[in-house]
Amino acid sequence: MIFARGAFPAGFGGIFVEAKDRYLAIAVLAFGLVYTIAAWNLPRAPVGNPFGPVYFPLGLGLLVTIIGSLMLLQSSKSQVKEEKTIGKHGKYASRIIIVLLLCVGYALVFRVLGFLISTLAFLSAFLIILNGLKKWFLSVSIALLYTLGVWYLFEKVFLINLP
Amino acid sequence: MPTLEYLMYGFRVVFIPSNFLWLTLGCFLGTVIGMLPGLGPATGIALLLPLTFVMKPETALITMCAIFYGAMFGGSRSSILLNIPGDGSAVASCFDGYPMTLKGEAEAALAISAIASFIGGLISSVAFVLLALPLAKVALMFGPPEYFALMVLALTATASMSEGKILKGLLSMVLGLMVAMVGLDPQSGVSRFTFGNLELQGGIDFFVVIIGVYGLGEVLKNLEKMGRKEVMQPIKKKFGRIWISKEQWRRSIVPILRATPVGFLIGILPGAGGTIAALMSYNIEKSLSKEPERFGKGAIEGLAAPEAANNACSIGAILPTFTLGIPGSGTAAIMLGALMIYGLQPGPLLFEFYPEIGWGVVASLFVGNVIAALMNLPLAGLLVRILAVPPKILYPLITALCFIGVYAINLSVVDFYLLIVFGLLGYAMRKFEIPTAPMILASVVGRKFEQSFRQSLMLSHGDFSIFFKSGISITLLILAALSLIYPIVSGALKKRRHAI
Repeated sequence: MIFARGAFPAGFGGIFVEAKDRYLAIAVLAFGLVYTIAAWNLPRAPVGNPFGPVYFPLGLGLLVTIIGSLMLLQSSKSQVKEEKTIGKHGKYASRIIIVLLLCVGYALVFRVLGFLISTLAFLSAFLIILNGLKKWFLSVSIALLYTLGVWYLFEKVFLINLP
Repeated sequence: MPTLEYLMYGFRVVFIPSNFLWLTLGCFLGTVIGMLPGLGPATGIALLLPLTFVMKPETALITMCAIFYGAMFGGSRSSILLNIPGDGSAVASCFDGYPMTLKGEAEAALAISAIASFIGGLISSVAFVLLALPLAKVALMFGPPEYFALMVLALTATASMSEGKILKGLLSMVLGLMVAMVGLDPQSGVSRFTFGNLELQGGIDFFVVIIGVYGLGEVLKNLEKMGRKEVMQPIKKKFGRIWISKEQWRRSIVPILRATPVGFLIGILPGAGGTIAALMSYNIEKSLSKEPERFGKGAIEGLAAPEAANNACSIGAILPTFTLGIPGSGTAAIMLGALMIYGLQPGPLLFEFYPEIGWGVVASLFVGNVIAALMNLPLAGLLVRILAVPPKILYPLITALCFIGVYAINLSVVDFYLLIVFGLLGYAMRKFEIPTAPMILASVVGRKFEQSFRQSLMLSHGDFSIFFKSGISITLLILAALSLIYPIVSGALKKRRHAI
C-alpha cells in the first residue's frame, strides 16, 4: 500500500487495549445471535414469497454473528495486556453520563414546557456544568441569546413551528 | 458541444441572487466548520440540514456542496497554525504545514493551502463536467441485479478501506443496514423490529442517525477530551501578506497537478475518502522527491499536495452520488439523502429532467471554488480568530442545534430519544475505533439495497443466479470480493515482511 498505516499521529486512538476488543467481540457475537433469532421469528409475508421480508435481516444477523466470531478469534490470538490508562477515563465518563441525562431530561420536558423554556434551561445547565458555577451569568446570557436567536430563525425566517 | 451549453445554463442558475448568496454563505460556514477541530464536513452538513428544508432543491444542494469543499479549505487552517487537524482529511496538512508555521512561514503555508485547494478543486470540476453525462448513461444500463452488485461494491469497499480495520468496518456497515430494516417493509407490509412502536413503523430517518453519530457523538467524544489539560499554543493573529514567493510556487505546482487526479479518482471510488487521498498524495510526493529528508520539516510541496488532493477528492465524491446514486463518501451519502428527501432520483434523469439541479450544482463547483479561495486568502487572519471560541461554550450550543435540527425534520419528540441513542452509539463507535462512515452510507442506501435485491429475485422467480448473469454485475461483485480480500492479503504480506 502506498499510504502508510502508521501515518496518523500517535494518540489518535490507541487508548484501548485488546481486552476491550475481546469484550466488544463477545458483545457483537451475542448481538448477532439475538438478531438472527429475532429475524427468523419475523412475520412471513402474507403475499408473494413468504420469506421476502426475512432474507435480508436474516443475512445481516448471520453476518454479525460471523464478524463477532472472527473478532473473538482475532482477540484471543493476540496477548491481552491490561493497561492502567483505563482508570483515568472514569472521571470523564461521569461527565458524559450527566450530559446524557440532561439530554433525556430535555427530551422529556420539550413538549411540556415548550421550546423557549426547556432550551434555555438545558443550555444554561450544560454551559454551567462545563464552565463552572462561578461563570453562571455568562452561561445564562449565552443560553438566552442563543435560544432567542434560534427561536427567531425558525419561527420567523424558516416558518417551522416550535412548541 | 452540448455539455458547454448545459454548463452555461448551470452558471445562470448559480448567479440567481438567492443561489449565489447561499453559495457564499455555504463556503463561509463550511470554512468555519472545517476549521473547528472535531467538526468535519459531514457534521457540518448534518447540522445545517434543517436550514436547507426551506430552500429550493437546487439551492439546498448548492449550499451543501459549498459546505463540503469549504470545509476542505478550512480544515487545514488549524492543522497549519495549531497542529490540530480540523478534520480527518487535514491530518496530512499537519505534517509540513505546522513545521512551516514554526519556521515563521505561516503566511506562505496558508496561501499555498488555499491556492492548492483552489487548483485541485478547479481541475476536478472540469473532470466532473466531462464525466457526468457519460457516467449517467452507464447508469441507464443498470437493472436491479446490477444496482445490487454496485451497492455491494460500494458498501464493501467503504467497509474495507475506511480505516484499515476490515472487521470493524463490516460491522459498522451491517449496523447501518440494520437501521434501515426498521419499520414497515414496503413490499409486504410486514412490520420489522418496531417493537410495537407506532412511531417506528415509518422507519428510522437516516438524518437522525447522521446527526446523532456525527453531531452528538462528536460532542460526547470531545467532552472527554476537554477534561485533559491541553496546552493550547497562543494562536498567531497578526499576519503579514498571505502570499507565496516564486520559488515556493515553482516547488508546489507539479505536486499540485500530480495530487489532483489522485484525489479525484480516490474520491470517485466508494469508500476511500479525503483522509486517504491526502495521505496517499503526501506519500507519493515524499517518495518522488529528490530530497525526501525535507518532508516533515516544513517542505511546501508536502503541504500543497495533500491540500490539492483532498479538495479534488471532495468533488470526485460528488460525481457518483449525482450520476449513479452511489455516494463516494460519508459526506456524499448525506447529500444523497438530501436528494432523496426532495424526491429526486439521482442518475441520468436528474440531469435531463432537472437541469437546474444537475447543472446548477456543477456550475456552482466552479464559482464556489473561486469564492472559497477568495475568502481564504485575504480573510485567513480574521477567520482564524474563530478558533479562539472556547469549546466549553461551543459544544453545548452544537448539542442544542442537534436537537433542534432533528425536531425540524419530523416535528416529533420520539426522534429526540433516537438521537440520544445514536449519539451514544456514535460515541461508543469512536471509543472502540469502529469507523462510522460505512454505517452512515449503509443507513442511507439500505432500503434501496434491499429493494434491488428483492426485485432481482422477483424477476428471476427466486433464482439467485440472476446476480451472476450479466457481465456488469459479475465484474462489480468480483471487485467487491477483491476489495475485501486485498487488505487481508496485503496485511499478511506486510506481516511476513516484518517477520523476515
